[in-house]
Amino acid sequence: MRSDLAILGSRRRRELLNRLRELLDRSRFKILVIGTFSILFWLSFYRIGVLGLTYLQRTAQQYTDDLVGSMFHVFYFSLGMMLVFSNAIISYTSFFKSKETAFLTALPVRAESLFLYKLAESIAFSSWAFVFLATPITAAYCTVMKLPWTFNLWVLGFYLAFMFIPASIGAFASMIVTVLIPRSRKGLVIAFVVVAVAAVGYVVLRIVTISSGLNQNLRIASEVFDSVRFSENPLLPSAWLTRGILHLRDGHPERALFFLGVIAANAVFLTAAAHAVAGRLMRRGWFVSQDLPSRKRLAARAGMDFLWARLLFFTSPNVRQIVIKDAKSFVRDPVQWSQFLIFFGLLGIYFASLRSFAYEDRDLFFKNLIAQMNLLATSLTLATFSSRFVFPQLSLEGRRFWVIGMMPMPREEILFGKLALSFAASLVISETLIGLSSFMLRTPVSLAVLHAVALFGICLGLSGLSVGMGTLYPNFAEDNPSKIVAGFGGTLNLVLSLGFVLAVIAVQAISGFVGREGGAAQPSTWVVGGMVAIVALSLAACLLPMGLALRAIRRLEI
Amino acid sequence: MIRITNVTKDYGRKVAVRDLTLEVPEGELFAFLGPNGAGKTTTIKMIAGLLRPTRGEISVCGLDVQKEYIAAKRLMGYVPDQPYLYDKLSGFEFLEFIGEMYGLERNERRDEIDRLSDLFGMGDYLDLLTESYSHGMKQRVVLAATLLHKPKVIVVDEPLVGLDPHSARLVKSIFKEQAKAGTTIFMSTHVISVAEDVADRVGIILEGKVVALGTVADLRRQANHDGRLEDVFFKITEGQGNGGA
Repeated sequence: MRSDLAILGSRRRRELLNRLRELLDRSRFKILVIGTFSILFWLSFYRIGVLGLTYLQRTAQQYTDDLVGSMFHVFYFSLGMMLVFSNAIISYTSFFKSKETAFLTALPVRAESLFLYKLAESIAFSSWAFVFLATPITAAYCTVMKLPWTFNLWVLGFYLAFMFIPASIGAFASMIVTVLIPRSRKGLVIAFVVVAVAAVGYVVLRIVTISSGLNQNLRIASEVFDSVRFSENPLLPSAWLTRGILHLRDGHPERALFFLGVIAANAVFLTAAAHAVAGRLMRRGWFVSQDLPSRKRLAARAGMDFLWARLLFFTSPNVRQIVIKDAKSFVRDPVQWSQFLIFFGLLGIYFASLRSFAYEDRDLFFKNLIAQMNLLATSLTLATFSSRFVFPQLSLEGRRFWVIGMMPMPREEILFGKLALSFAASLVISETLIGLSSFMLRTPVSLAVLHAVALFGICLGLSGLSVGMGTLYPNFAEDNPSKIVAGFGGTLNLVLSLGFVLAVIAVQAISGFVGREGGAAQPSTWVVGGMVAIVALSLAACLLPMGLALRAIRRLEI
Repeated sequence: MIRITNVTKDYGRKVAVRDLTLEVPEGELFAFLGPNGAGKTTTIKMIAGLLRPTRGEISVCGLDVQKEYIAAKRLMGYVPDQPYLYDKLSGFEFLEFIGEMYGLERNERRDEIDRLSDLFGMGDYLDLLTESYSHGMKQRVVLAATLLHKPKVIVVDEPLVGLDPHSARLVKSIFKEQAKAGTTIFMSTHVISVAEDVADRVGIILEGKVVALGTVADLRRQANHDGRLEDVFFKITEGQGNGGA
């Protein structure tokens, strides 16, 4: 007879096979899109890595090895910290809040087996991104340094062993925090988010060693990495990973093997230790998490309602009520807004630290380049979030659609409400961020205005696209937004959103650069023309799907 | 059998179950009646081992559900009010998984699945993914999963919610047969007619306290009312609400 863990593993394998079969039968387009974009992203990171490392080699040959070493230390330290936090959050949700855990707890499954089963799930969810981000960089390094291809296989082995360390630490943390600090789910999520953002902010703010007198990238980079020497602490698992990889580079496989052994031994130790205490901690944590007293919600806060009413002055009262309902639902779900906060918070911290790199004293071309990249980063983040949060909005009405569907108002107003909320919220956040970026970089006013107009158009286009596509491809059977987004409609929406963003960025980049040919900082025909093109693209992206959606919602039957 | 001894469950200041002592012998179908928020589901979940009592002990077939939870669960079957199934498994694969988890050998598992498939009329859809099932179909699969390992105790929370009349009748007749065969069934419901139809004994819980316990005839005597159980229920609970008058 098989053990309970083997049975659980077998069930998961069966489920994965069924999902794969279903995807192949029904969603080949989705596989094609995801596969193509994944390969494109991987190749882009690889290409950027090759360009960056080649540039370093060319400009600072004698310092390359040291700089790359420092870079890897910082890179793996950052990824390692992110892995710990993401594993902790995933473990908490998976161990104590999932319906599957409640179901399995009623079966004769040992807590230790449940822990290992859920740990595997946590590692899979959190670590794929680590491997996806790290492998193109190390592959680029292999290419530039002309190392044998087996280097990549060795590095993969290091990664696989390393992943268990932050996973076990995160799982430990989630069990201990749940048992010792069970105050509230909301408090836990807020605490994790604040600690995560603070940790990253601390690292970024430590990089304040640059003075405006420096004029060479090499010295800037050197001083920056001097300030993050702490990531080379020999007690850190990320330092073992880096040193192992560097020994591989230097042709010392026996030393690399030593560090692989250190990582593997610690991974096994931590996993075994977590497994040993899981029997007691998981059960206790489960009961404590079920015992959390429900908090009374405050009555409708007049302040928030007032704010939304002012912000959406251009909409009808019905639309405003829908917006307030949706806004409250979003704000009262920390799992939703914490993701929002992490990404936009990190962007905000980075923009606020721009003067640490003395970019504002660089020439116009360089400043424009950085400003473009900041605009691109903000816009791509917006595209991801509008796909993740705005697209499922109508679907999430689901079984509750009768509440607003029965109201004495035209159905179209439901869509206008969702469009208004998405547009207003994304506009406020993104314009604040890009305004901060322009201020910190001291970009010319015309460039700042161009970027603000571009972002206005992007917010409008993305909002219209996501609301429209969400209406054309609804999924009322699902309550989970991530499952709604994972369907054909969600995938198509993401692809179109990314394409729209790239088109707008390209238009304003070309018009911005050409308009400044010769270094002039005055607005030109090209800049104005660029703005007109952006407005046209944005209106098309908004009005076309919204027009189709308005027809669809009139005919909608649930 | 189920033995609940001086069990209290509180969530901070809110007391969900107060000092409950109750014994449900082998072969009895016990129905726990009460309004929403009375403490029925909390009691059910404590028996199933999903919640831990603040005070007191619960044992199933002589095994403490907290201290000997694995052994106790092997003898129990639990049917929640909201059925949980894995969307990407077929009904058959789900039953296979449950059967193996309870230690049934392959041949025995297959035979039992066939038998239960015939009993519940699931043959047409057992090979489809459960994500395509209606609520009634899901409930049948969950019930079949509960009976697969021939439990000595079945704990069920609101078994008939969302079932069509045909399915509801089938479920009631299966519970009666199981009880006749010696299985202890602890059922919570707020549908009084269900309790009247199938239960050997009824317990009425109100604000965490059992205010009436016995056969339907006993409850009629307690309420001094010969009518339907529904009328008896309201007379007892309203009496309690008015300070036991």
